[in-house]
Amino acid sequence: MNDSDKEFEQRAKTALDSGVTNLDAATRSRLAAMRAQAFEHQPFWSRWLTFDHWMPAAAFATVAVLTATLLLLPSAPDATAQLALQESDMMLEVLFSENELEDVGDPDFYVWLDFALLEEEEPDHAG
Amino acid sequence: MANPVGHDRDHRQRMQNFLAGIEGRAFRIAQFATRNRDDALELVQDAMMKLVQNYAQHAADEWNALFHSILQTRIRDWHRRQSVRNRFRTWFNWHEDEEVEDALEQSPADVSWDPAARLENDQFMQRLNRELGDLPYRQQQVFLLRVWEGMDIAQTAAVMQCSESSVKTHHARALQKLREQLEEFR
Repeated sequence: MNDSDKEFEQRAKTALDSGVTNLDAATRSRLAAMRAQAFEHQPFWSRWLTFDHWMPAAAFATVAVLTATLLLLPSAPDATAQLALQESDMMLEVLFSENELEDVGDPDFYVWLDFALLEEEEPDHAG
Repeated sequence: MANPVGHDRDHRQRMQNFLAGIEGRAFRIAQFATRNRDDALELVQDAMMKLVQNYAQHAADEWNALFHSILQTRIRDWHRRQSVRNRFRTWFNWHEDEEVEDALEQSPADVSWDPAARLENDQFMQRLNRELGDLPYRQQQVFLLRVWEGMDIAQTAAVMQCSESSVKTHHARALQKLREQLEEFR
């Protein structure tokens, strides 16, 4: 860019600035109103209301509710919970047993698993 | 110990000052792009809202680039919507009396008491506005960001979401065309 280009750009900049300086009153007023409106609607300035500031409190409340729920759970779980626990135990046994883990890839394993679960639940119907 | 309420108030005041300082230029930039006063005002309003709501916590020296990025995104969206509208208009042969504004419908600049110099300056301004309005969108906006907003090549590329080499090309082409068109004012 040569000096002549720079001079042209400077002149253009001055002309553009003049265009802003001479904006009509209605446009100026509209811009000022829009600026004020932007601050009316924004939540940032009420910082304590923002999610960022509520997040630690929300996390603490969630942990507290979960802890209370666990502590207040009845000591004798109902039948459904017991069944679920049995299934979980069985799956854990399978997963932590090297021999049985090999069977997990075998489709027949799942047939056996269903059968075993049914047997656990209703011993009379099995076999 | 810092007072957070006082800090927020200062921060808010600084952002208000920033917007007050930039809004006129932003409006003209949007008006060049849209050739429509109301659309330009709407785009600037959207950009203001978004900046205040989403980016007010950023450092003050980032606001200018953020604001222009938002504004350029809005302008690009506006162009996309317009091209879809134009396509429909062509298909259905709509004949709306669309008011295309002369982007240079601005009061003359009062830069000199010398009538001859003042007249020449007014004419230069009017022609510049017209020729800027006729430039392709990217050339026009790159020229305005580089020359008027004083952004460097990297900042302009980030705001326009294009490469630095594209910025250089658009700027050079815009400058060449404007100089050719305004040759008589040398």
